Amino acid sequence: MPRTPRSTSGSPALPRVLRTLSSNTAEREAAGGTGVKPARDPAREDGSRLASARPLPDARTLEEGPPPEPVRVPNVAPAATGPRAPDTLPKGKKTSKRKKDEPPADRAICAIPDLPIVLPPPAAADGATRARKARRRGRHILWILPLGFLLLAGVLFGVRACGFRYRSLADLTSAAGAPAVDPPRGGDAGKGGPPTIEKLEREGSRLTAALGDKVPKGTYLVIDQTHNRLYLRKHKETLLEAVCSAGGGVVLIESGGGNRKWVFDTPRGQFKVLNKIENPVWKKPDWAFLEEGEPIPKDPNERFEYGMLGEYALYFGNGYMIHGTLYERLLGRSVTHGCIRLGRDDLRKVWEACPIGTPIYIY
Amino acid sequence: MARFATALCFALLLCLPAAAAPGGAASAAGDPQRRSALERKNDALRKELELAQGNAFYLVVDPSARMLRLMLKGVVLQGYTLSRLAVGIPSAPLHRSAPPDLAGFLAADGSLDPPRERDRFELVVGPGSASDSLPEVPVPPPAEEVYRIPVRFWIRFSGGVAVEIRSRLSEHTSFKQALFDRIWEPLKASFEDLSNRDRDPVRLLLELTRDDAASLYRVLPPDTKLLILPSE
Repeated sequence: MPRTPRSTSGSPALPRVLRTLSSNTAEREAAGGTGVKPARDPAREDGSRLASARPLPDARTLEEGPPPEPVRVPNVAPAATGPRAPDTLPKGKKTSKRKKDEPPADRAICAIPDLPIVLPPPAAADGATRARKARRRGRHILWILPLGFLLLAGVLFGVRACGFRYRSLADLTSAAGAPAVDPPRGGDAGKGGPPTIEKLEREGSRLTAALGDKVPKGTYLVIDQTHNRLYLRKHKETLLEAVCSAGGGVVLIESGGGNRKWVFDTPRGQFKVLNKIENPVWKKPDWAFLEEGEPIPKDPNERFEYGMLGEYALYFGNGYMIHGTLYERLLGRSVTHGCIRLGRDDLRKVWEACPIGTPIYIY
Repeated sequence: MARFATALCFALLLCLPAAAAPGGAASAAGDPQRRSALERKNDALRKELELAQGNAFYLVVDPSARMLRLMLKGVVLQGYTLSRLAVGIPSAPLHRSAPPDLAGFLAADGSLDPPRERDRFELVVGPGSASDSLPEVPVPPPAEEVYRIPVRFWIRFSGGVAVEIRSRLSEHTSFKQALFDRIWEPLKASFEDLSNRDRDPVRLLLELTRDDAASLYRVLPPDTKLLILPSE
């Protein structure tokens, strides 16, 4: 769809071709669409313009009608005498392709008299220009992409080269990879000579045995309070993996005169089963009443609550226990006040497997 | 870039004789080599025993077994299989510094970077608060949903030693996630390394599965110690 020509002077819109033929600038623009670049024409500068002297066709005729008549360009002076045409050509000229057996455009203008120049309709000229620009852009992209890739690769290489240099840890910690033999250590150093290999081996065995003694001989409990898992282990074997509930980390602050604060975390570290209680009774502490919005009772008997802790409880110090729960649906979530809650069946297995003194490791 | 390439070639040339040397030296050394290995092993055992007698949690890196163990009092609480163990030092294109000997290396005061953030629910109550006016304590989500686990994180110890934990892609990772992890994360890591050059004079790189790395991030107790065992 051709664009509607508009006059910049506010006069009724003139056909583009008309404007093209009436000014040098516009003429160059129109000629550019044909693939033949207009050379500077001294004859035209003198005012003898054949093209402009001809009656101009109607804009509609040019744009929508049959192909326009050829417009004759007057003979021009030879290149040697006149201003040299290529000097005035736009740069794009050098890259445009010529047909076979066709003389260079500048020469064609100079050598062939009355060279017919067909001025195409403006829409066609615009399309050709656009196509040429697109081709040129495509060619640019062909260059830009690999160059950009190379640049990026270079930057990445530089960044990595300036970062950290890694070597395998196994190589660096092996005796072969060690920079030098360590000086002799221990009591043998004072005796003058390095320790014998037998002595070193004996010492190694002693240290290994001492380390082995640190691992409990019987069953022990390992509790992962983050993932709410309890493991019953014997040596390196896991006898039971159970879902439990650990402390929720809630902070309870008593307002008013008391200003006491409780943090419901499960402690980390090593503990031992200090006491085993069947059918435990919960003696509710102050925070339990505060949490429920109840007044703290003065009668100690009002603190006892039955059945809340399940069938069994394994007490491991500071008021913390491994016990049962009425709310088994919350197992696996950190919801307790610091104790470890277990399901009914798992609690029974732990109760049976763990005598008083069983180590508990909580992390 | 040409400088970097030259520096890289130069570094590679320098590495060649160094890489070839240990094999020959080992065969020639004989007993001193074995004595040295035993001494290093005993030294590490002594340190491990010392840690087992303390009350702190500690991490033991075992290059021979390719394992990272979280321990307390000589008991393995959790073990993680390592797919990669490496020591990183800031690279200098024209200066070749010797990597440190890390056998029996002991570090203390390990803390997570970025730190684990925990939102604690605070409940303020008075003795006379009515039970219906108290806010209800929400049921927390499972541990897997509480923390956002970074693809790589550090455990920084006193003395400028850092353990970098990287997640390895699991088999069930989506294509989009895999693409993100293989291209974007290494790129980001490289740029981060540039800014951390001065911060980490020695860096231990440990690669775990994504689940293990996430688990370690969630459970690591504060002020953990680190021991690196010699490899056999």
